[in-house]
Amino acid sequence: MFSFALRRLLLMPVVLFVVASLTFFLVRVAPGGPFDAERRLPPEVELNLKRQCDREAPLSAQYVRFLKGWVSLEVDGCTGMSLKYPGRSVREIIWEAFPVSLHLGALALLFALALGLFTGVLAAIRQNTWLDYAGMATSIFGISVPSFVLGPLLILVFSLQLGWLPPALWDGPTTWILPALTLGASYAAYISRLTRAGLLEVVRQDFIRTARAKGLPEWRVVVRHALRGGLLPVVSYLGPATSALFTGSVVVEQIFGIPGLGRTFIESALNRDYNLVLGTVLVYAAFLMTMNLVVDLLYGWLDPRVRVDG
Amino acid sequence: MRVACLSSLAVLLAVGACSSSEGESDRFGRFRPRAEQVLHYNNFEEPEYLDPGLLTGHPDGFIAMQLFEGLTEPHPKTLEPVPGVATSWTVSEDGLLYRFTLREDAVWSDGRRVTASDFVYAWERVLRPSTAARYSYQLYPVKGARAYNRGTLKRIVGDNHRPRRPPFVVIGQTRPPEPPALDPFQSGAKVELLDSNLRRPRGSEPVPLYASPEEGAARVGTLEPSDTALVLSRQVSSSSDDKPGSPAPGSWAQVRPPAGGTAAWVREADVIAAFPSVNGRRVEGERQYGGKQPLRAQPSSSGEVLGYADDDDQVELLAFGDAWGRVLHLASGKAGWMPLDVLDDVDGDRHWFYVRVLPEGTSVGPPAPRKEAREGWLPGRHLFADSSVLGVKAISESELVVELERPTPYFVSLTAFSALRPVPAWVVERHGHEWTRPENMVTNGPFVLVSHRTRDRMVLERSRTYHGRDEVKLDRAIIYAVSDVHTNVNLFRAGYLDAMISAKLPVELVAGLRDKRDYVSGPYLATYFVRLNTTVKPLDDVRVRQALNLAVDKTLLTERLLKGGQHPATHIVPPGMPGYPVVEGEGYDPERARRLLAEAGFPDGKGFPRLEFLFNTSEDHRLIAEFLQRQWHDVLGIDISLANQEWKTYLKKLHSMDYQLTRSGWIGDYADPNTFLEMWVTGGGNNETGYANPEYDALIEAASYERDVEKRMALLAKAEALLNRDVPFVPLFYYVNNFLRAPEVKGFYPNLLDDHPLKHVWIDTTAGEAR
Repeated sequence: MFSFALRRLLLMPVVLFVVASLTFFLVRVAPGGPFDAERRLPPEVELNLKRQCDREAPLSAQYVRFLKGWVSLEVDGCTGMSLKYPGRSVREIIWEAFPVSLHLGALALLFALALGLFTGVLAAIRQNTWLDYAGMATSIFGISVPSFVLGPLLILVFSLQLGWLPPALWDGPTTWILPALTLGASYAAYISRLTRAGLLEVVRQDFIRTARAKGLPEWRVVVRHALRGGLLPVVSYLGPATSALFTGSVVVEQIFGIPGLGRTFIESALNRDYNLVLGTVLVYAAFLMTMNLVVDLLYGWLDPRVRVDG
Repeated sequence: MRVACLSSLAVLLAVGACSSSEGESDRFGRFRPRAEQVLHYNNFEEPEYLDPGLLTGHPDGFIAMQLFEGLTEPHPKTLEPVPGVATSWTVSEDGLLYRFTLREDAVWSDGRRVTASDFVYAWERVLRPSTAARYSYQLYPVKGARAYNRGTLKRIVGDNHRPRRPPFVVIGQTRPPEPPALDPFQSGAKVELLDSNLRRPRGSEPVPLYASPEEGAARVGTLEPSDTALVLSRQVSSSSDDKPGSPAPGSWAQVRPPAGGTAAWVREADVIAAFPSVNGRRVEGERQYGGKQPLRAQPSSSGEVLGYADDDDQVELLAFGDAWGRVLHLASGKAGWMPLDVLDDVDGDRHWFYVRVLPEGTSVGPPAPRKEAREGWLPGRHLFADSSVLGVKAISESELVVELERPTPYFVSLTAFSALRPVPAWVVERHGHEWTRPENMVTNGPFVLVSHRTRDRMVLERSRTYHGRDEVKLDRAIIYAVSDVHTNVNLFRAGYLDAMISAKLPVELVAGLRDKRDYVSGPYLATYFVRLNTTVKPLDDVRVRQALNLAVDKTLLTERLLKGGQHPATHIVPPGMPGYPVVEGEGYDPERARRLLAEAGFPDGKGFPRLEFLFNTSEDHRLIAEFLQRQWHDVLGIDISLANQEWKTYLKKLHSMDYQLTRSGWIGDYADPNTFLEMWVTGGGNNETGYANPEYDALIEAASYERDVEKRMALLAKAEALLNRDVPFVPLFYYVNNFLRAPEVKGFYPNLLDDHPLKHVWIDTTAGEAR
């Protein structure tokens, strides 16, 4: 177990290096550059902009310089600053945006888990009743309605018609609710279905029958025995889900005007802000790898059958 | 209304907007009782720069307008220039000399007085090539500005010689380390230098170039007065070696002529130094004054003494003229003038300069980190051009004299433009790009920046030092960067916004807003048009271009499709330019369009190649593109295909003219037709249609030298008529300046440039919900 984790951890820098290098070249392949604007610059001014940081140097030289900067973690004015927003460093922009995305993602995840698990369990233990049918029908709706439809719908009802909640911004608890619901809805639906399916499979097994036979109350059977096995599909789903939620959703951030990392990422790519793209990609890569590792370890802990040995 | 609203999913929100507002209220946004003088404004985009000298974007300009005060400020309604830092100004008879009198009580937010030198510094900085300010051309009316700005910066590849004497100095450590024994100008060596030393010929006569630095040498060519040339080396006559700044008789400079070719020599007396010497970030030095030296407010020995610099004090040279240098005295933070011979070293031994020679294959690094620079040597970043070539002079703290290249009737209005607003030298020089961070920023406008969260919001508060603070009513302004048209409208509708930047309303919503009290619209100095690539077949045929123009019913476009109050355009310059006539182009004429196309060899569109219409991805542009596609098909029988590209790709194609037809827009920088016409000259940077008409170029050129305002306008009108005839573009409509503004917000008006000085804005806290 330990050496498995260690191996994965040691592999991370290698993967990061590959990701960084690929990104470095790919962003530069896209047409246009960070300083292209609708109004043409006088050629002298353009040359000047290019001269800064040696941007007219061969790509290989720039790459070497970039690597040196990132490996030694001494990013300077040329590799560590945003090209679109001079005076603001990549680190600072990511530090500002990432917590917002984490915050939103965590709220959405909590909501998704709470609703999903509750309805999933309910549907499983009341299988083939109206509760089950209603819950599963709703979850189909939740999965199939995209956030760019759900978000505006929620805004329409709760902000514009009822006036209960603000339609956008990131200002405090009242502004968190709608984006968290929008972002979490499809995950809640998915979790609900996975929970139900997982539980139904487990409750048919012998050890559950044994548990019932020895006279345990139903809630103990469900919580103590069935849930642990029944949640395995949910857990394996949680890994990618958490990563996706925490790294920020462009759509939800755009609809609700939230200054999160998802928007930062997309906008930096559109602006050809090479440095910021790289910074964001690296943060994403590191985060995704960490999350996957955590999930793998958690999975082993939950289900002894897949426990990885050294 | 309802049908229109339901037309697309993305517009789902508008449904709510429409249905719930019907018949209920004459306002679109929800009423919110307002008790405080706080404005919630959506600026739509995160500003790139807060630095008035560097910014280009409209959202950036909005912020700078609140933070910095220019010589003049635009009137919130009419945009007429009203006094800002300048209380009054006079113009000479010939329209070339402007004299601005500055108010005594204008101060920066750190308490320092706003002086004429601050403007000199700010303008010089915008024009300084190493600043690379994109809007530097706004200052081109100022004498010498263009030449100064266009002095190309090149990395010097040195020739085999050693500089005799560096003519200026930055005071570094008292005991600097011994400079490395390097010959910076080893032949072919790559040296680390920022600015080069460019010179331009003095006077209006061409200057002879000689083969060698001696009298009677063979003449090998001439330098034109407008030329700049790269100085490779100097041969200074020994008798006057210790008088930097003024070329000694008998001194020669070896230059590389602008056209390239072999180096030649020129008499220093014949040229004006624009970039007097080696000028790089590793140029450093040290000196001793020999006692206290006065720091003066003006470059004259009678100038007021601001303080004294001691022997070991560090000063940074900001700019210098013939005999005086403007320096920043680091100990006191004061900027003032000192004689150059004081700054320079007396015996020639005590100051050190070195230029680092880089090994082959290495690249010039970034500017040294500040912390490192303080510990060791001071970087020579601040050694730059001789700003005395510029026509802007601080006569005293409160008097600024500006000499223009040629009469520019809109010059006073131009002083309200962001690039011409003052910046605090001592803060800019100390913090570099980071000077605009809230903790560093020093401003002189009615508001100060309190906090800034990227892509979210900025909070401005009323300045406590602003001279007109008692007239400023707003306590605070919260400027959001919510960059989605629907989110923007939602926020306003729910009562979270008071006002917003212009022209960011969803097209499909505007028609339903027109009778609301919070909808505001007015003319805007911007035109939407289609560029035609005149270098590709069949668009190189003027008849084809005319046919394309005549075949578009622009009134139909604005009335039936856009419905936002836009005006159909037949020519490029929007109406409303003061003193400029309306030069009508041709309107919708399908008959003639068909005839012209037939004459060009495509009767009924037969044989016409399928052209591609390029536009950047946006619903609005797509609607218009589809409209044009339809019109050209119906009227001319030709088909075009639509190609949308994301912004940067679109720009790339536009700039490299890799298109056939493309949508374009142009927003005027100032209220003068020149801002719409200058770009179409042959080879103009923003022409991008391949349009080349010597007659047109001549008219624009003549207009730029014309001193009589009426004659100038007549020349420009004549030029525009040529555009209407030659059709390098199809004008479609003039943008409308429309936005939502809560009725409780007062003093906030639509105007031609969408400029909103918030110092005139106030919130009516007594207003109730009633109509």
